[in-house]
Amino acid sequence: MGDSYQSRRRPMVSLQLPAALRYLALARTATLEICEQIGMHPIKAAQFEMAIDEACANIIEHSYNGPCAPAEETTHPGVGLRFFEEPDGLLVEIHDVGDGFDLEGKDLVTPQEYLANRNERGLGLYIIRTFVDRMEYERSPESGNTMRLTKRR
Amino acid sequence: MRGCTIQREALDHIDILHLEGSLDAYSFPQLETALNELRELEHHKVVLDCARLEYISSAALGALIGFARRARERHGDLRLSGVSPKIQSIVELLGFHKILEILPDVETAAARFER
Repeated sequence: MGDSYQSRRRPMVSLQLPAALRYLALARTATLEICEQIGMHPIKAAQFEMAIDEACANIIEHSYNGPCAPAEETTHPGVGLRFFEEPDGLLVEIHDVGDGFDLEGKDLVTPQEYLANRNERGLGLYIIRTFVDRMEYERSPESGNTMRLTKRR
Repeated sequence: MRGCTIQREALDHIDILHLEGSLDAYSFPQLETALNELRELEHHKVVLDCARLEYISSAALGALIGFARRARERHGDLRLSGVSPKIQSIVELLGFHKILEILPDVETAAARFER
């Protein structure tokens, strides 16, 4: 796995979001804005926007087992996003200190299974995996969980 | 933080839901409420006006697919209109356009129910 979350080079942009769903829009806006700045194709940027949104929503709903209380938004560790321009695209690191989740687990359903089984939830991990060009996930009880998502221009 | 505004318009025997903003995990309960109200009213012919929809999450797409399937079993349907190229590309990439019919505008989508 790559360098730790703390030791990497300085990102273009860092965001520290409270673990509350109403801040997902901020993560999406930042992603789209930075994708545009680095010249990513808008359709690819839309896929990356969705992967980042689903990743952050999964962290809040599953790694943290739900949003924090409104009164705890400034004290709860929340969700950290760091955006790095890479030679071929954009890397986004997403960090949390919740329970993490099992990306290899049975919850990973494809759209075909999703439609066949008449599920209405559970496609988020598939989107995260397939809408990016590279994905890494480190799960650590000591330093927290880091998802690294890279999308080429 | 901006969520999603959902306005319902009754047009003869068709309901049109005008969406504005983003349908994500935060605003998802609003969509669920709107769709549940239509189910309780036994209104199964629905057009979703997406002309001012900026984003839709997988959970929201799942709710639309679930509604469309149930509506079809009751001789209705749920159709999308005015979808942006960005959202259309996501829907097609997931293969959901095979379930959710996409029409260019509300009038065309509503007229499809007349045939």
